[in-house]
Amino acid sequence: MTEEEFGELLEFVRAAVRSQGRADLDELLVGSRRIDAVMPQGQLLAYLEGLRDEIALRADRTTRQMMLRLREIRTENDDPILGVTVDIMDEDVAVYGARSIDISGSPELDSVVSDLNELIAQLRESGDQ
Amino acid sequence: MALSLPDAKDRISTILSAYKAVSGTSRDLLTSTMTSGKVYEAWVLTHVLEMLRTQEGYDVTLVGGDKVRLKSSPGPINRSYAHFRLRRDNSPGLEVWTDVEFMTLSSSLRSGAVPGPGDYHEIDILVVAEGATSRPGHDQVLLGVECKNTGFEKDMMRAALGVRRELSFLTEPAPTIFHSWPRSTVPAYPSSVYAVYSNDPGVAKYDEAGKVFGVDFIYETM
Repeated sequence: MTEEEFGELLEFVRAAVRSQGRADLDELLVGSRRIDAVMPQGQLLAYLEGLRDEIALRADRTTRQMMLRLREIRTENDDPILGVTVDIMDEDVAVYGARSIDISGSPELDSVVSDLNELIAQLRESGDQ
Repeated sequence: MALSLPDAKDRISTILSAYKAVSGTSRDLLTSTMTSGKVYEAWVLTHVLEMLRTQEGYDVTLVGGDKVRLKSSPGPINRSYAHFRLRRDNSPGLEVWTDVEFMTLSSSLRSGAVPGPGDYHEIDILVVAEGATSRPGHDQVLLGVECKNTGFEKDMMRAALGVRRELSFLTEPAPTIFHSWPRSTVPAYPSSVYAVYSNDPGVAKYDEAGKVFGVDFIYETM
C-alpha cells in the first residue's frame, strides 16, 4: 500500500469510529501523543493500536488477568475475591441507569482484539513492500 | 499476499461492527466509555497491589466485602466501603482506597477557612495509614496513583503537576515509606509518592520532566 492509501484508510477508520458514536474516542486518539508520526502509515498504525487498547479494556482476557493477580489476595474471612464492580454514585444513576456495573470482559472482544492485532501486523508489513 | 486498500477497509468494517454489536446502544456506549476508564483503574490497582505484595513484602487483605468496588465519582473515605489493608512486619498498617479526595496543601496553609472545591482533589488510587477517615490531609498521603486510559494528553501532565504541588513542597530527595517500590526516595516534603499510569506509550515522554518534581509517568499496557 502507498502512503496515500494509508492516509485514506486512516480517514476511513476515523469516520467509522465516529459513526459508532465514539467521536470522544476518535478525538482522544488523535489528540494524544500517539499520533505524532509524520507519515500516514505510522499515524494509521498508532491510531489502530490505540483503538485495540480501548477494545482490549473490555475484553475477557483483561478481566481474567486481573482476577489472576487478585487470586493471591484474600478477604478478612480468608475467602477469595469474587470480582470487580463499579458502584454508581447517587448523582450518576440517572446518567448510567444502574446502581452498579459489573466489570466482566466480553469473550467476543477477545477475537476482535486478535483480528485487529493481525490487521495491524499486516498493515505494518504492507508498508515495507 | 499483500493487503489491498479495499481488503483493509472490509476488515476494519467487520472489526468495528463486531465491537458495536457488543457495545450496543447509546446508553451502553456511555457506560462503556466510563467502564473502560474504570477497567484501566482496576488493572493498575491490581498491578500496584501485586507490586506491594511481591516487591515490598506486604500482606494484602480485602476488608469490608468480597468484591473490589470502584466508584463512578470521587468522594471522602467511606469506611463502610471495601478497601485493602496492607500489613508488614514491624511496620504500621496501611490502607489502599480508590476514588478518594484528599485535602490540599494550600488549604492547610489557610487553616480555618471553610473548604471549597479547590481545597480537595481526587486521586484514583490512594495509600494512607490505617484508620484514615473523610478526606485525608495532604500529609497523610503515602502513595497516589492516577490512571489514564487510551490517550495521554499534555493537559493531563499539567494536572498531575498541580496535584503534586498540592501534596508536597519540593525538597532534596527524602525517604518514602517504601523500601524500593515504587520509590525509596522522592524530592518532596511530605515525602508522598505520586505516579501517573497510562496505556498510551506517549506518557513516557513526560517522565523525565516529571521526575524533577517527584511525578512518575509510567506506561502500563494490558
